[in-house]
Amino acid sequence: MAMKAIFKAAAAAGVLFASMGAHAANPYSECGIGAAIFPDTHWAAATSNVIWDAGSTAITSATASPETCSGAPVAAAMFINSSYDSLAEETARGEGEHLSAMLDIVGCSSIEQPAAAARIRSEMADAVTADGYADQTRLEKSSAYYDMMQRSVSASCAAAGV
Amino acid sequence: MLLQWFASLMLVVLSFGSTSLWAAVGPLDSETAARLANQSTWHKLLVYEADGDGWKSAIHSPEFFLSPVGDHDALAELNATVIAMQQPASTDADQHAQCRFRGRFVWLRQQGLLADVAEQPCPAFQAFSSGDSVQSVSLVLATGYLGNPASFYGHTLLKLNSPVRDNRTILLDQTVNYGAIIPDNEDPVSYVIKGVAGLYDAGFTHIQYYYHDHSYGETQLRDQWEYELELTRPEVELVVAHAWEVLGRKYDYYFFTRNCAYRMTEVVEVVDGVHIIPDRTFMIPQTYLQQSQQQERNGKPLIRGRYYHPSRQSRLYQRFAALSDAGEDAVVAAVAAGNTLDFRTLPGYQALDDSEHHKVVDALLDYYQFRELDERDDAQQQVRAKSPAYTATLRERYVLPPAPSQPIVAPDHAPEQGRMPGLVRSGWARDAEGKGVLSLLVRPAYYDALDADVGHVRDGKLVMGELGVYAYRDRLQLDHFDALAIESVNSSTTGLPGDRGNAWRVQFGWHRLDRSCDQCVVPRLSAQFGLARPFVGRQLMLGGFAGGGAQDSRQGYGYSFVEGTLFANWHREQFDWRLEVNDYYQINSALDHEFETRLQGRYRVGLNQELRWQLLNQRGSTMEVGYGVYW
Repeated sequence: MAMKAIFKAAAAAGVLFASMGAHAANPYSECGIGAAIFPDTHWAAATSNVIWDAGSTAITSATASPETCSGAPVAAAMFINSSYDSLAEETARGEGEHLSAMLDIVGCSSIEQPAAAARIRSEMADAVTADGYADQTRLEKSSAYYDMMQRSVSASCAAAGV
Repeated sequence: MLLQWFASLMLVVLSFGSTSLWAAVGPLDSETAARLANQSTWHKLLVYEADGDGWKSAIHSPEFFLSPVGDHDALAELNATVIAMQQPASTDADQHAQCRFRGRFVWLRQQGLLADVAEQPCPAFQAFSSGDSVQSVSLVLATGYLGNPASFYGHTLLKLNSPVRDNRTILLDQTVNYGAIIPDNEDPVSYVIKGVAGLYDAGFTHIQYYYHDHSYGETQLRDQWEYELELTRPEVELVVAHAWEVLGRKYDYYFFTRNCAYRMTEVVEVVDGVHIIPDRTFMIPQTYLQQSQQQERNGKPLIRGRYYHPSRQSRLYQRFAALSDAGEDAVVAAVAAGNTLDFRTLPGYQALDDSEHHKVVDALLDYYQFRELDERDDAQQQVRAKSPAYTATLRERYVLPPAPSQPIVAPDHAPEQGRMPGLVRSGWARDAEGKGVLSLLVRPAYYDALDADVGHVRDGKLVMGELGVYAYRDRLQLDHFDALAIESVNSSTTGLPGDRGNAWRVQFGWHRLDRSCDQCVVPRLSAQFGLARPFVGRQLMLGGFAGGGAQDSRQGYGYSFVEGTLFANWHREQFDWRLEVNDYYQINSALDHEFETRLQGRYRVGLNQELRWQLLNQRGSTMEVGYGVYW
């Protein structure tokens, strides 16, 4: 029985590790996503397929894998950049609608979200007290937050899509 | 290939509406085709509007029609649509008629047609509608915003609600937006003229709700009111599909009539039996909410639920008001410390318990966001660092144990509960010569400092097209005409720096320079900046303006002037008062200073009725009493 549990735990850890390895890319740095993805709500761009199209446009010149630069990773990256201040504040509070929405995007179940949120909070507590945090732009903070979210989700959410 | 050629030929032939030929070869018999083509829902799907004796679609994008005459011939477009819906799949699945004209497809199926036609996958529509999982739709009103003429009366969105309604998911809901397509760097004059005259194209776009929530709530500091509608599942499906098929199509934009509120409610009215577009010349968002509130569907109110989404400013005001005296002192001390803020040494802070710590820090986070967002546009926020004071406050929130923020309570009154936007008032007046006359005032929209209601800017003014006339026995005398008059007063609820009541006002119209002179009603443009501050729990607002303007000259008055204004607004229960003193200095004129004192009072008789009186002193005294009805 004990061996079975250890085997299961090892297998789960292996899956998690593989998952982290497979999705370790950061769309901000590897997909060409920059501030230009949120310039405005130009009506034609927004009509064609909302801001995701703008993100895709930025992605076409990237060298990263398609998986990194589409779907949940890009959606999460864009959501974080658009909502960073709200996210940072809600992460400090340990809960909030933006925090939950972001974890929804990456496929973290509602049961797993408290644990993931706690992990992000722990990392963010270090980040906001680090030298230089105040001088960072929103894009830089968003990119760092994405990394924290990715690590936390990989550790806490079984079916996460980043 | 031959089949495609034949289908194309049939499409062209049938587009010209030969019902006899249609009866011979088409999937619909002529009687059915005529019946469906005359149905109001089909006309709504084609966005038809009355045009003389016939119809004309409000959409002028040729690609919206499958028949060459489809923009005005409902039968031809129906025939062409039914043919196109049965075409085999093309290489680009999203280009199939079932996908491009999703609303028509859904409706035709709901009429029992096309049941045997293979349904195309339509991946883009599936993404838009979250795999056809939209459970309900909401109209979202972003309250009025005096910073942008296009948003004076508020803005309307359509929100497609996901299956589970809670705060966790609504941010990811799809929204549909409608607006004019404005060229970059458009000058303000062209902006206004083209917007009013219908010279801009307009169209629908879509984006997830979190984008608007940020834009309206965080950047423009506008509250949002969401109204979830009582529609059945097939009705929701039809609205979503119709919203999809009009995306990107071009309309003409008319600021006063065919605006965002009109077009958005028009999309909802595709559901048979929903009538929420008011029968009025001007379309003001608040009026469709008032009409919606009075409607029922299947024995239930059309508005199934109302939800309040507060702006950052509203959150700040509620959280600041909820602080204890010690907490408020801590906030004031923190703000006074500026960028040297250190919570470990902040006076009075350490003595508070954790619960109050959370409240203080949350109020400060809202305060700094309010100030800093107010100073920058969103593009600047992308690249500008936050202030050290904000960052210190955020750090403190991480130092404190995690805890939720204080819930925000919706105001007692919502926009649909407010009065009607137009006003007509008549009464008795005594002119400067002591003659008694009949006074008449008509104001199509919207409010002034005395009757600003729910959904309006308190103590503000937004008047368009107000006409005031004195009726003597033998003649009519124009008293004033305000083409546009706006007064924006920041309420300065907290009294903290940056929330100290900046105010401004602009006015353009015909103004009576001299109350004793009938020929002295002249065109005038003026602008002023000022400050205002509330007292006695916002019952009393004191403020002042300084500025100037230009006007036509009469009776020794100059072509330009400078003016200073002091005012006091007092609101208590059913009564509202305003005392205003103006000091004019005419430039290049023999006249020097001239004072004008105006005392106005209002008694709210009912939701849509008022009693108002005024004493005015300027080159003689006038007084006026009138009874007003809102419409």
